[in-house]
This record gives sequence, structure tokens and C-alpha cells, in this order.
Amino acid sequence: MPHGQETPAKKYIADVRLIVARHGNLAVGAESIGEHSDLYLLGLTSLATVNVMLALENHFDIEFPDTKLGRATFSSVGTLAEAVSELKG
Amino acid sequence: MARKLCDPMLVRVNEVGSEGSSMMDAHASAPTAPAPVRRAPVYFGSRGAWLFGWVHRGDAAHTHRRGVVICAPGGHEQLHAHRALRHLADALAAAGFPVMRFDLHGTGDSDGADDDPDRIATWLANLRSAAGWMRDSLGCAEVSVVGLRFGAALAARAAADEPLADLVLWAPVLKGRAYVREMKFLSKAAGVPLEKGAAIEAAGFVLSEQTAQDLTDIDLIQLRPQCRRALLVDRDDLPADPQLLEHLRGLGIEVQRTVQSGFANMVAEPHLGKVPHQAIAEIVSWFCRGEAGARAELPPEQAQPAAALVAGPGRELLRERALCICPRPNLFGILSEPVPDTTATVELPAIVLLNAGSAHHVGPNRLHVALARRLAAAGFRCLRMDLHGLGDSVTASSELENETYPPTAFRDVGLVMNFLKKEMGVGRMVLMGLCSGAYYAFQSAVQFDDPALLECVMINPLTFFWREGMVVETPQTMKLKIRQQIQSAALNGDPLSENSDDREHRCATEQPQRVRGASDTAAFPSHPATDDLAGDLVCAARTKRLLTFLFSRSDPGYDILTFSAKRLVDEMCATGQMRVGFIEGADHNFTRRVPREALLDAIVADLSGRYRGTATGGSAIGEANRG
Repeated sequence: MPHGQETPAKKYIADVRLIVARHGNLAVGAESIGEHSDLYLLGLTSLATVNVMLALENHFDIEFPDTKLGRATFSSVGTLAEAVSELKG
Repeated sequence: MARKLCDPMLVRVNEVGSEGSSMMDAHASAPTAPAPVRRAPVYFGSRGAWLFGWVHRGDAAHTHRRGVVICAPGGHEQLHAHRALRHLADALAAAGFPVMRFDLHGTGDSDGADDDPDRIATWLANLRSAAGWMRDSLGCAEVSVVGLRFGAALAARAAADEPLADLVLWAPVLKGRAYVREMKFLSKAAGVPLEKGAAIEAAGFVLSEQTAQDLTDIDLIQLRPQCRRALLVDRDDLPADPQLLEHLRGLGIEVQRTVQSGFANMVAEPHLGKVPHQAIAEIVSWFCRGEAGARAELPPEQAQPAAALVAGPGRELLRERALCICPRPNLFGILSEPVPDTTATVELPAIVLLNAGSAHHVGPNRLHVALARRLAAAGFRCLRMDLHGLGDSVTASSELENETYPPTAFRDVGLVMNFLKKEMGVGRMVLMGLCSGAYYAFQSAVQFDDPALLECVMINPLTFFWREGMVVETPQTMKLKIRQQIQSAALNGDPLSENSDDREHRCATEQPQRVRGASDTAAFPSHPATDDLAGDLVCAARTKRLLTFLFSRSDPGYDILTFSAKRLVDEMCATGQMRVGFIEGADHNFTRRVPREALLDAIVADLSGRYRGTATGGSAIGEANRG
């Protein structure tokens, strides 16, 4: 990716951040969740992760395959946006 | 037929409790127009096993002839929604509906375990048994069902086999396949590896391969439930699937749909959980609109079994009794005991399990049920109880409800110890608890004078001191902070906090701190006035009580203990008055099965070895203490 060019995942960052803030039950608001902030350190629990997953699937009309259903995918807004981007094609 | 109860021990509701009404007086705590509600614990038979439930009734003279059965969700959602469903039962009873809420086989206080076979068929039979009990025992002409999440899927499936009056489907699981996928994800999100064809461990509960397979066959859109009316209560945080509404209307059922907030908070961890009063009010209102207005006097309340036989870990028979420990303040618990009880059993100490956080007496991941039954199988009597304001020890005070560290807890511990001595003939006791339960066990060891309290077992305490308004952080963040404090102290050459010279004096002279709103607690200990772990240990040492600590490696409790009082800990361990053990691979609540089993093995082996002379085979407690 040439310097300065936006990755495909970038366009999903804002929506993903809002969904994580709404369904993740974190200790901080959306404005404090950086693209690479560790969501588990911000208080994302495994129970809340399920709500985030369901909300993302509904919002983007996607279904996470089993291979994407792990802690790595849900570790940050950035990794989630990457996954969404990949699934949206 | 369920296993027959031993007649001499058939405790009837009318005999539960030492004074007053047979049922526990209460008031529904819905925000508007609370009406008197009575609750009674009951056991009933289903498919050869005993199930535990609660019957809620309002004014006996003005009761609808239509009863309501509440079908709880599965796994962790059942534990988390327990409080909300109790509120729903109270609100329906206050509106005149007799209500039964109960634990499906292998859940809550009922007989059975997660990995028993034929879960779906058994649970459907359980729901039919509960409805039958309402007809036969309460004289209900018709029975409706409220099902939450997976309980809603069960209710719809049951209604396809046998007509029901009304059906409330609250955030229903539409497709079992999606539910299983959620559970798989929950498992993976918690770092539990999933193996093809193996059981799914999700949030402390196990779905066997067979149960998962049977669940995937459930599809509400393919069912043809038989009922007059249905209410769909959808959550507001996710878009609802319109298919179910259209499907039910296509079957000629009068269907209404409502979207309600509060679902996620209702099924959050118990200490964070919130009761969705608006959703409950909507459900009650819908039921009331379906009544023609005619009420009738139902037959007089009959005594119901409040004791049952359940299977122990080796399929041996155990007896469980629902006990009203105290009517005011309302204190409830369930006693597990061996069958038959022998002189040896009576002479062994009784074990009391205190609430872990705000989880009700079954414990996180149903840990307390498993532990109580294992201890009973080993010959001990074991009481799992709810402190006032938690679980089924319902309080009329909204201030005290669901408080993890309630100010009245030590009063409750004192009342329970007195009850066990006076009513059950118990001469010696062991207090045991996880998380906040560990805090109560520890401070009880420090503060109670009663020589009947022999020893205390503390599992993963997050604090040894509590002050109103304090916040206990997550174990992970606490562990990090404690380690930073230790490093900082080492780098700066700061003395550890264990430096007071007057602890012997404090122990002898300090009076317990008075607590708010609890004049009846004056005779009992309370939260300590000062944060002084070393001083508390000095006080505990003087009682000669044995203190046993069990920790998960990832929890901060051991670091807190040794940071604040390492010298005393070493001394007490050297004299044998304290033992410290670690359970490998465990998280704070023992959500994984293998470490959970290791914890149970360690406790049962240790107590059996010391009190019954049974070979321990090297318990985690002994091993860790030597290490």
C-alpha cells in the first residue's frame, strides 16, 4: 500500500468504533477508543464480545466465520475493521 | 416418577422457618403499586428427578385462575437473569397470577448436571411437569409460559406439543444453530480452545456435543405453537427478525410485539445486572389485558415438599432441603446432606458457602451446587445461602438489593451460625467463600468470637477490607497495580505496610464500626473500621482458627496478602494456622471445567482427610503449602 493511501478497512473504522462503544460495555466512550487500543484492557469482556459480534453482523450484513471468532479479531477497532473489510470483500 | 423422599425428612413448607407464615412475605419491587406477594420454595418431580422452584402468589382471595410458568434461559444467562425473573414473578403475582419459576434439570438447584444426556427432551418434559404442577397443586385452569432467550425457544417448542394459554417470548432464540454459534464464540472469546466434536465450555457452563447437536435442530419459524395469544418482547439494541411475528400471525395467533430496553443489562454479570422494570411492567400489563376480569378463589394453599433427593457426583443419593433460615431479615439457603445421615455426619463440621459477588446461592458456574453435593457425598452437611438482599433472600429495601458487599452481611453470617446451632444441632462450622464470600469468611474469622466457627476457607479474595463506596476493580487490573506497587516499594526501599506496633492493642480494644440502616446488626460484627490486614491477621491468629487461602495464579489476592503482611503470613503458615494453595489454570470465577474440578477436589480431599481421616491423595492445598 503506497504511503498516504487509505486501506480498505479505514472506511469501516468509524462505524466499528461506535458499535464497540455501544455494545462493548467499556469504561470509556467512543471518543477515547483509539484504532489500536486494546479493547480487552479497556474492559471488553467475553460476554460483551458476543453483543459486539451480533451488532457488527447486523450492521454490516456479514457473518463472521469460525476462523474469525477469536480474541485476535476482537482485540481492537482496527482488527475488527480489517475483518469487516475482508468479509465485505 | 421422581425418587421417593424419605418420609421422616419430608419437610413441608409450613414447617420451614421458625416463626410466622409458611411463605416468605415480600413485596413486589416493581416501581408502581407494590402488592403483597408470598413466595414458597418447592420441589416437584419430572422425568425421575426432582426440580427446584419457587411459587409466587398474591392475594389468595383475588387470584386469576390462569397460572404463569417462567422458563429461564440456559447457561450463564440463567444465573445472570435470576434476579430479573424473580422480579417478574413478583410483579405477575402482585397482579393476581400464580407464578412458578423453576430450574430445569441440571441447572440451578435442581438435580442433574450439564453433561447429563437428552437435555432438550428432558427440559421439554420439565416444562410440561411445571405446568402440570400448577394445574394439579394450585388448581390453575390454564397455564401460560414466559420464556427468556433459550427458555423462549423451549416454551414455543413445548407449545407445539401441547396447547398453552398465552406465550411470552422474551428476546427469543430463533434458531438453535445461531445460539450454539454464540456459545462457541463466547468460549473462544474467553480463550477456551474449541475442538471439533468436543463439548463447548461457554462462560462456565458446558454444552455437550449431543446438546449442541440437538439445539441446532430448533427453529422457531418451523414450529407451530398452539396458544391463543403471544407477546414478542424484542431487545432494543439489535434489530429484530420480523419472521417470527409473521409466522405466528400466519398460524392465527393473536400476536403483539414490543421492543424493550434493558436486555443487555439484565443478562450482564450479576453485580452489574439491572432489572428491566419497564419490560416487566409491559409483560404484566399484557397478561392483565388478556384476562376477562373474572377472578376466583383458588383452593387453599397446600403444604408442598421443600426437600428432595438428588444425585451426588457418584450417583449416590443426597438430600437437599430448602431452608427459611430467618423470616426477618429474610434469609434463605439450601442444605445438602448425605443419606442416611449418621452420627458421624452430625459430628462433622457443617460447611457454609457464602455468596460470591452478587451471584445467587448456586454460585458462579453453579460452583456452589457442585461443591455442596460433593461435600455431602463425603459425609458433610453443606449450606449454600444468600445474604439478605442477594438471590432468594429477598429484601424489601431497594438500597440493600444486589449489593455485593452489603453492610448487613456479618449480621446474616451470625444469624446463620445461630440457626445451624439451634435448629440443626451443628456444633462446629466452616465458612467458605469466593471473591466477596472470601472477604466475609476472612473477616468472620477475625471478628466472630463464637468458638463453633472452626475455620475459614477463602478463595480468590479481591480485598480484605471494605468501606461503603469502595470500588473493587477487575482481578486483571488489580494484579497489575499490586505488582507495580511491589516493584515501586522495592526500588524505593519503602517499608512494607506491615509496620504497626499496636495491633495487639487494637485487636483487644477496637469496637466494630456501626453500619448504616441496620440497628439490628449491633450485636454482630461489621465491615472493619480500618484497612489493616496485618492487624486483622493478628486478631485471627488469636482465635486459633485455621485460615486456608486458595488462589488462581492470575488473581491478585496472594499479592495483596503478602504485600501487606508477608511476615505474618510466613509465621502463620509455619505454625500451621494458615495454608495457602494455588489452583493452576484457573480464572477468578473458575469458569473452566478442569481447574474448577481441581478446586472441588482440593477442598473435599482436604476436609475429608482432616475430619474423616480419608486419604487425600495429595490435595492442591497440601501441595502448595509444602511448595
